[in-house]
Amino acid sequence: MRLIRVLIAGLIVVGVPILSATAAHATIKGPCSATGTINGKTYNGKQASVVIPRTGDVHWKGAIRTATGGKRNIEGKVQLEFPPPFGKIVVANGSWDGPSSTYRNSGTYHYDFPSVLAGPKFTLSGHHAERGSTVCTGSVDIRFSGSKLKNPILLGSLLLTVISVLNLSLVVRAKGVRS
Amino acid sequence: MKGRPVRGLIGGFLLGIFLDIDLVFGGVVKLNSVVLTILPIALLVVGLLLGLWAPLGRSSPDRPAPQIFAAPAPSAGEAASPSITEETPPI
Repeated sequence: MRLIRVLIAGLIVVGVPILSATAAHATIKGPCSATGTINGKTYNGKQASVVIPRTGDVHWKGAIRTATGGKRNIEGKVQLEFPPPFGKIVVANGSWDGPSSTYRNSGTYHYDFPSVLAGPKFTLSGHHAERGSTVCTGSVDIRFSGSKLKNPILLGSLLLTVISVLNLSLVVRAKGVRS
Repeated sequence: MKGRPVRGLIGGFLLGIFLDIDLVFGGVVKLNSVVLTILPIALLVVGLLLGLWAPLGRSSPDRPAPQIFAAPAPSAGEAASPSITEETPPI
């Protein structure tokens, strides 16, 4: 029985880091460039992960370098990734399609997220397609600045985790025999 | 004695959900990590198995309990007297 406990503990200790380890993210692949400036700090496509303020205005710029010009059909999205089976959702106004003769674009986007989102690591991914084929893909891991330990959701969840462990430990105890 | 498989199943699943929240909000794993999908399902199974095995190390309930004290064979003179294994009414 002691062996089973040791094996289960070993699986948890070894398994979680193995499963959570992922390959280092490539940033932007293809002839595209993208930058965002928040509070004077510029983030570019070479950064695999960034920590940004919870609230701010992002001044973004995007461009594609192609040999051909003129009007063509384009399509693209910027999406927030969730674990399976939830997939991806498009963030704010991060979707474009239709005929366009534009090869670069820029703008400002205001965002304001609650303090409970300080701590999680989000993965934002995007792609851009020209004439029906994807020419650029990219992704970046984002975390909002702020203390994780002041997050009420984390504190509440840790408490509930302890209660759940106690509950599960009671499951393996014998039921009392009543005569 | 018997286990609590349903309680183990539900308890394991809830533990998985809360561990998921801990891992995400603690910044240990990314929001799109497959660990967040696997963990509740794995702990659901673990909880069910623990519930089925509970209490850990018990003997099978189908097996008859070993008889520790064997009644001595009655002799001819004691045949009429009640055996010590028989229940006697309270005095």
